[in-house]
Amino acid sequence: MATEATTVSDDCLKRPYSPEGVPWACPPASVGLSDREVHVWRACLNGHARRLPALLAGLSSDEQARAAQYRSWKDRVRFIAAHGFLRKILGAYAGAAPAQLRFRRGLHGKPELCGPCGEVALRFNMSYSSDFLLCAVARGRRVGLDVERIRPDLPAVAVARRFLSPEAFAALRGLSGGKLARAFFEAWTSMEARCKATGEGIDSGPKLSCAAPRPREASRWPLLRLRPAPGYAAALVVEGHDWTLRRWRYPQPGAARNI
Amino acid sequence: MNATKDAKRQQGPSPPSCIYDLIAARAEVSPDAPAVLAPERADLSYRGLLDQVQRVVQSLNALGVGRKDRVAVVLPNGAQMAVAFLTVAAGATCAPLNPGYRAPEFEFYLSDLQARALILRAGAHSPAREVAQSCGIPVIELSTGPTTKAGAFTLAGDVGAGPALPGFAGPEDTALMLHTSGTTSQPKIVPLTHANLCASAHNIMASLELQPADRCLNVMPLFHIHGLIAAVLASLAAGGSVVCTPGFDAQRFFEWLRKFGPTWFTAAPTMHQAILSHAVSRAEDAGKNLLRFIRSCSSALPPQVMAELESTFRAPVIEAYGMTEAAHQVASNPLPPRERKPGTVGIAAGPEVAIMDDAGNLLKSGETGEIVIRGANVTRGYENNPEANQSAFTHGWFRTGDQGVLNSDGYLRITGRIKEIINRGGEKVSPREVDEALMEHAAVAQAVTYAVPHPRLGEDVVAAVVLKDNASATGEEIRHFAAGRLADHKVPRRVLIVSEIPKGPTGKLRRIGLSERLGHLLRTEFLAPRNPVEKALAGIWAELLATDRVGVNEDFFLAGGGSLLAAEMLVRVSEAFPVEIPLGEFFERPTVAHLGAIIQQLTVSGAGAVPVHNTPSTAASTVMPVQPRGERPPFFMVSWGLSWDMRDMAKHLGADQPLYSVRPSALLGLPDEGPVARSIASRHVEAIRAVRPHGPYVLGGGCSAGIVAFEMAQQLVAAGESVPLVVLFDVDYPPSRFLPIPLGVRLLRAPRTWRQLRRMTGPERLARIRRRARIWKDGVLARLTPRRKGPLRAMRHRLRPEEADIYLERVLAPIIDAVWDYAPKPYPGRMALFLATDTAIWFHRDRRLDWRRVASGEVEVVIISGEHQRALLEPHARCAAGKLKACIDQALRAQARACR
Repeated sequence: MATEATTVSDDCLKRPYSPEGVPWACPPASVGLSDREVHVWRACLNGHARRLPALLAGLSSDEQARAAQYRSWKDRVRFIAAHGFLRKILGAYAGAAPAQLRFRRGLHGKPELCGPCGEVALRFNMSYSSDFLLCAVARGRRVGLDVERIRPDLPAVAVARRFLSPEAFAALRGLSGGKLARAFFEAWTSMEARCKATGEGIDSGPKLSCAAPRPREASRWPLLRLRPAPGYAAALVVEGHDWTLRRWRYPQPGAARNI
Repeated sequence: MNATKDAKRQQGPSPPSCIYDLIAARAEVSPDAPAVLAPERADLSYRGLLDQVQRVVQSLNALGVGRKDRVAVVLPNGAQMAVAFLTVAAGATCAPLNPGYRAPEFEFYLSDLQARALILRAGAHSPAREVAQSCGIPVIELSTGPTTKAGAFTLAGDVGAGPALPGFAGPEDTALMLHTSGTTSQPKIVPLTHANLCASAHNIMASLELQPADRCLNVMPLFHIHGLIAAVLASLAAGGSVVCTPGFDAQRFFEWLRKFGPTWFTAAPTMHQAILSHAVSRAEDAGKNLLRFIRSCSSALPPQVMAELESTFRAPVIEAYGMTEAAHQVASNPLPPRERKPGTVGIAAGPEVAIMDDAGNLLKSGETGEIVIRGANVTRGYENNPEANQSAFTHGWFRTGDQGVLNSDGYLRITGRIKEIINRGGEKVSPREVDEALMEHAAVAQAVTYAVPHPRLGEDVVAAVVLKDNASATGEEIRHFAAGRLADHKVPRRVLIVSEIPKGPTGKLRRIGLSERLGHLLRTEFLAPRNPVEKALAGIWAELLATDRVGVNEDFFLAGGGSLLAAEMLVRVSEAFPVEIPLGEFFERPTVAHLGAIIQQLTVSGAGAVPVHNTPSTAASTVMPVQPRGERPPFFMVSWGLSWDMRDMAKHLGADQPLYSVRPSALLGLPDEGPVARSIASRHVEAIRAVRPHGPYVLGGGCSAGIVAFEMAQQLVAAGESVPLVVLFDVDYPPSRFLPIPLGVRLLRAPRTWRQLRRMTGPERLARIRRRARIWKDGVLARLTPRRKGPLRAMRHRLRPEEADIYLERVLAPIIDAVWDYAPKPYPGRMALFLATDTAIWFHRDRRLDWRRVASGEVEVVIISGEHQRALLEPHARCAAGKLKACIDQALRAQARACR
């Protein structure tokens, strides 16, 4: 898988950061996280039927209640798997069992770790779409992440005209078919990742305010486009510079279990 | 001993600090004065009460009960209970329990209290009896005879071994043990010493200036601190009398008022409301009473109820604040002539009151934090509960668990219970504030707001409401009403109408636990779409979510949607309806029902707006039927949706007048060349003809939209259609638009302006002057450079905030600006010029009447009341509709005549 690191404004960065190591590799036995690193985990949400009861038991009571409210079984399974894996991943960094982690909603409903066993400096953001979950973890830096499966049947132009910034919309002109779809999804995930990182949330104005960040803002929050799998677009936004990216693959059942 | 205004100032010996001394002191001064009264019993004097105390303590001692022994008392409300409290406390520790408890509750409380004995009425069948027997707690029987005085009784029983400490209890002995209400956690035992109780009684006596001549009518339950101390003990401390009724009965309340002639009473707000609802039918009785004041305590008193009480009984209402741990009173509004402030609980009336932050620092006035108290009336700590005491006491202050703020005059305002503050996605909501907003609705009698779990936000806000008798309203209406008064995140997600809200026995409305109890009402049942808008939306959702049916209360995200799918959905919705809904707004309440409601708000409301199906979704204009039925020629109103539309007129025009609203859709762009008005008009004409292929058509439009209506009329007439009338509502004639307003006219308006300014307050005046200056500046700029957005900016200042919506920004702004460079040509048909009278007609007149220059047919000029922006809205709508109807009739008659 080719690695890609595209930033919004290269010249604003102190040094261009590059991801280290083989992308989406299996993690070592114990994964340490320094404050100069950002870790992104990729997990596949399918094929975990056997683990589901254990994952469900590790969720908090309101997460379990929410899982029960999903209309379709597939969505429910994905929800349980995603939140279960999130707890396992964060638990490994925080040194706590998955069931002991406590979350709370910060401003605009962004989930945060809190409570006695939460390492408060540990920041994370999670996003899942269709078969894949991506989770970014960092120490002391705010992160935002969004992943979407690329759907060619989405009316990209109409949605872009309405919700994306004029520049992003203009960039889609002249494209069509597969190229248009990819360009749109990259633009959309970039925008969402930015919204989630800064914690602004989707605001209620006519245009999403984080759709077009001001140049100074953009340089404080570098953007990285990720390719978790063929047919998916993802973006990561991190606060500050001077960090390196490491990408881990969450082990599938049957593979060597490190977590 | 006389009651003093300042309880701290002492005259002579210090006030009694145990119950025996308190009664004995009064019995010495006025032994024959009535102390306790009851219906159908003779009065008990102070001498009689003191005798009763002595006899009961002797009986208890003989039975084997002494000081420090806990005696549970389960009696029905009334004089016996009051006197039992006084007498038992004087020789042991009294623990009154609610006679309405069931066996499991008695079991819990009796064992928690470690009761040594239980007092019950002789022969009474109470679950407490069996429980006591099974727990091995001896029962003491209380009996009265037919001629026994109010509150007198004898005790009999067999307890066992001799008492540990005989005699009368002193100030430091525990007199009373009560459980806290336990709304937020397990109930805790509050021990109160004689010193606590007497200090509190004296505080109350001082703040209410109680005299021996005062008589209190007690309706509060006597197993709770409010009735025991405020009504009973305080009255006795002052040497007055207390009427102990069998409990609260709103119907008999007035009978008791008449019979006993009390000078005051104290009750919880829910009881006051019940009294008021009966007072309506007994207005004459209420007015005659000589009540000196009415006291309210135990929960928040809605200001409306307070006002009604004062006007019904013609007595001041004193709102107070207290709690079990303070032996009742903490703060109280003072009596007149000092100020009572509705919405506050008054000034500190006994203990010291302060506001503390989370860290334990005391805050200044004006800052909100936890209310803390300390004083002689405050308990020393919960019984047998070190963790609770640890968290409840900080630096010697007792934390009440209520949030509040002290103003600079020392008046305390309670803003909510700290544990009840709802955390909605990071934003804090005080349920009390929401209750107050809901109570302002005319149909609401009681409102309780509480938290429900929410998958995304953590907690969400829901309210349960009880309607007044004979009032009717839906939950949605009340919610909408609240939305106009509260910030968005505070508005309840649902308002549930219930017949009664579960209350505690002391009349307090409990918030905790309502979520479970009323949860069944919230569960979203499948509701099929109820109107064409919802049907269309449900269809779009079903397609995108790949499902066959969608309920109107279903959460989009729980049905499988994500934020991108939501964006796609909203784009589709914009194609079907001329609205743009922000993504964030949708996220707040992602249901078909809410989306449908927004759409109906943003478009013309009335008989249900639905896009006409034969208008293709790529059309640049949308025709919405407001009222499609009727035989008369349809009236097509061109509307930008800024106030010149039919929403208020519709109901006055009658069911036989079809009404349609025509507006540009989001897909309309500015034409590449040529007058904007002409291009819009032609699209509108196309859309109209899709609805009604042939005339007659009556057209209309207000302000700039009227220009489009005029051009539409031209095009239709040119196409050979019949247009009996075109109505222009306050439309300037474009070529005359920027004539200057004569100076003489400005001077004429000066006196009225001066009067208005004088009536305003300082900040209002400043705001108005600023506004006017902005409008003036924009007007000047508009005259200098008519092509600029001057007119639009000027108009925007006059718009109400809720009208300046996103539709204005995206679609209308360029159109409205551009429409003014239309050059009207001569028009052969009939016109009506409606002019709004309040906008100084004489100098707008030229602009608006110059349409006559291009009219070769008849022109009728009609004056309607109201300001330029409001002339078609309530309250002017009815009159305007009448005139419009008459005008149309006139036009049709003229047409009929011409055809002959």
